[in-house]
Amino acid sequence: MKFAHTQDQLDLRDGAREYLRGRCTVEQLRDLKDNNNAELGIWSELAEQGLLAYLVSEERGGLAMDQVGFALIAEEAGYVALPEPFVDVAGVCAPALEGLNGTASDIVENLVAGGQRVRSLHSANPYLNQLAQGDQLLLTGADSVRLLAPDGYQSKAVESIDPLRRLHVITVEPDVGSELLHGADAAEFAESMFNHGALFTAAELLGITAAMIDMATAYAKERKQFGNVIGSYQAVKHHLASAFVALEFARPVVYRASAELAAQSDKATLSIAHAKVAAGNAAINAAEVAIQIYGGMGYTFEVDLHLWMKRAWALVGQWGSSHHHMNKIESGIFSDTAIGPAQTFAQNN
Amino acid sequence: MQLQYTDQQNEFRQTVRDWLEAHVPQKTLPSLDTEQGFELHRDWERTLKSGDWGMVTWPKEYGGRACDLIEWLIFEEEYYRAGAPLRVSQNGIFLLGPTLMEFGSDEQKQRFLPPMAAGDEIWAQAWSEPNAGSDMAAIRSKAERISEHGKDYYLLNGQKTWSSRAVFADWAFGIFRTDPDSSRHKGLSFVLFPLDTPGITIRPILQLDGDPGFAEIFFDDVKVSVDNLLGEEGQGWQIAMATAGFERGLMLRSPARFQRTAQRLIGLYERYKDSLSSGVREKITQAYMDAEAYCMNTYYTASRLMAGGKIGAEASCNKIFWSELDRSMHRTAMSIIGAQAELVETVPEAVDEGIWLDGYMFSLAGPIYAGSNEIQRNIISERVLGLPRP
Repeated sequence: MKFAHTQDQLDLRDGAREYLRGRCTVEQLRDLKDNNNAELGIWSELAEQGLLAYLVSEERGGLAMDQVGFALIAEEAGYVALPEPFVDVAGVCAPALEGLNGTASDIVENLVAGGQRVRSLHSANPYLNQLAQGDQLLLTGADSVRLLAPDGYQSKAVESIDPLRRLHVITVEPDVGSELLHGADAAEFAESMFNHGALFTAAELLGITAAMIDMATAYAKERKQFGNVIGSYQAVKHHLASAFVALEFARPVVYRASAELAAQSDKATLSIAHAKVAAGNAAINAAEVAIQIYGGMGYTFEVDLHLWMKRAWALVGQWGSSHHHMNKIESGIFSDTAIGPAQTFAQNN
Repeated sequence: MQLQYTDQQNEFRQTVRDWLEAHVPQKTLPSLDTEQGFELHRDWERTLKSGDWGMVTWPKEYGGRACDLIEWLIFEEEYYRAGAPLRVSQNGIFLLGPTLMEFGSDEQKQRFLPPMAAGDEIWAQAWSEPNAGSDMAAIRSKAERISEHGKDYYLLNGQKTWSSRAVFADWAFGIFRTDPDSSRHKGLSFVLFPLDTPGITIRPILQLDGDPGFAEIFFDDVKVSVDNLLGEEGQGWQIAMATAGFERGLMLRSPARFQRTAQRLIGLYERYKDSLSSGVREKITQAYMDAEAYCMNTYYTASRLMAGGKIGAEASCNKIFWSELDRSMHRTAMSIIGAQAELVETVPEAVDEGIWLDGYMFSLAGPIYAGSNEIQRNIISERVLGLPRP
C-alpha cells in the first residue's frame, strides 16, 4: 500500500507544468478570444514535448506511462485552461486506438508525432470541442466502433459560452467508415473510453479549481475596501478556505481513481464516478466563490476568471453529468454489501 | 501508486480481526461520560493492553507495537468494523502521547507513556479558560515557581474549563502562565498534574445528553513538582500548537469511524426507504462518497508522512472535513428516523439503541472542539493561502 506518485511521474508533471504555464498564458488566452481564434496553435509543440506520447507504448514512439501519471498532466492542462483538445486526443483516443489491432493502431504513431488527430465521438458528448479540418473521428457506440475519415462526416458549428471552446454537432451516414469493433467488444471499448474521458476530465477540473482559487486569492490580497485588503476579512477568508478544503478532498479521490483504472480494478468505474462528481462539485463551488470575491468585476470580461469558470461549467457536463455518475455510485452502494471500514480497497476479504 | 495491501499487511489485518472478535464486549458499554461507563471503558483499555493493542504506533518500550501509519489505519478499520468501544484514553494516547514523544525527557516518557497505553492513567486536557476559548493566548491561569525544603515546585492558581472527563480522569495536562509579566503567546508553560492534588476542585458540567462529560477545574495554590514541566519554561504555546496539530491531524479521528457511520446510514435508509422523499438517497450517497474521500485523503497523507513529509496546516482541512461530514450524516439520520428521533437510548423503541441521537449531539461538538472550524478556516486562509491577518 503506497498512495503516492513516483518521482518519475512527478518529474514529468513538473516538466509539463513549466511548459504549459509558459506557453499558455492568460495574455495568450485573451488574445485568442479577442481574435476569435480557437486554439493556440501549439499542437506540434505538444508532440515535441512528448505530451501526446504519454499513454502510448514505446514500440509506437510513446513514453509508456500510465493513467496515474497522465491524470497529473491533465490537471496541469486544466490549470492553464489549455484550449487544445489535448486530453481527448492523448488521454482518451491514443490509448483506445492502441488497444485495437491492425491498421487502427498504426494511426497512433502518426498521432504521437503530431500528425493527423483522432477525436472521440461518444454518445455521452453530443458536441465535439475544437474540431479541426482533417480530424478523424473515433465513433464509439454501444455496439459498434468506427473510424471516420475527414470526409466521412458532416459538422455544424454551435456556440458555447466558453469563448475558447468551438463546438460542432456531427452527423454521420449509417455504415460509413471502417468498423473496428462490433457487439460486446464495442461495448467494452466504449466503457473504457468513457472511463478515461471521465477520469481525465475530473483531473482537468482539479486544475481549473486550483487556478480559480489562486486567482481569487491573489485578487483578495490586492483589492481594498474599508481601508484594508478584502482578504483580511473573515467572510472572504472563509469562502476561500472552504473552496480549498473541497479541492484538497477531491484530489486524492481522483488520484485513487487513476490508480484503479491503471490497475484495471473492478472498482475503477465506481472510483471514476466518484472522482468526476467530487472534482465537478469542487470546481463549481470554487467558481461561485471566486466570482463572489471578484464582485462586480467577476461578472465581466475585464478579468480572466470567466475563462476558467466557463470551462468548469462545460467540463462538468462532459463524459457524464454529476447525476449520471451519482446514479452509478448509488446503484453500487445500495446493492453491494462490501462497503464500510476495511472494504475501501478491493483487495480485502 | 500501489493501492493493494502487502501479504504482511493482510496478515496483520487478520491478526487484529481475530483478536477483536474474541475480545470486543458483546454488549454496548454505557457512555464513557458516566462514572460506571468510564470505569468499564477503562477495563476495555486494560483488555486492549493485554493484547498489546493499547497504542499500536508507539515504540515497543512504551507499550506499543511500532506499527507504521498504514498498519495503524488497518487497525482502526478493524476496530470500527468490530464495533469496539470508544477510546476513553483518547486525550492521552492521541494528544499528549505524541506530544511527550516529541518534547518529553526520557524520564517523562518512561514515567507517563506505558501507564497511558495501559489505561492505568487516563488523561484530561486543561487548556481553555472562561475567557480563553478560541482566543487561547488569553490564558490567565498561573504557575509560579517556588522552593520548599530544597525542592522546586509550581504553584498553580486559576481556572480551566471544558475539560473532558476530568471528573473521572487521573491526570491532566494544561498550559499556564509562568511569566507573570508576559502576555499572549509568550511566557506560557506546559504542565502535567495529578487531578487528586490538594487544592484542585473539579466541578462537573452536564453536557447536552445530561452526562457530566465536561468539567471546570479550579486551582487554589496547587503544588506540582517542576519535574512535571514538559519542554522548557515559556515553550508552552509552541508545544500546545504541536498538540493541537495532532488533535486536528491524522490520529484523533480515523476515517474508519466515518465509514462505519456511512455504512450504518445506508442500512438505516434501507429500513425506512418506503417513507422517505427521494432526496434522501442522494444525501446518503454523498455521505458515503465523503467518508470515502476522507479515507483517501488519510491514506494519501499517511503515505506522504511515511516518505518523510510533515503535516502542516492541512490538519485544519481534515478537522473541517470530518466534523462537517459527521454532522451532516447524523442530521440525515435524524431526519430519517422522524418521530423516534427524540427518544433517548433507554427507551426500547429508540432506533438502533439511540446511537443516532447520541451521535448527532456529539457531532454538533465536532465543529467546536479542537479549535472551532472558524479558527481552522482562518488558519488555512492565512497559512496556506497567505491572506493577511486582520
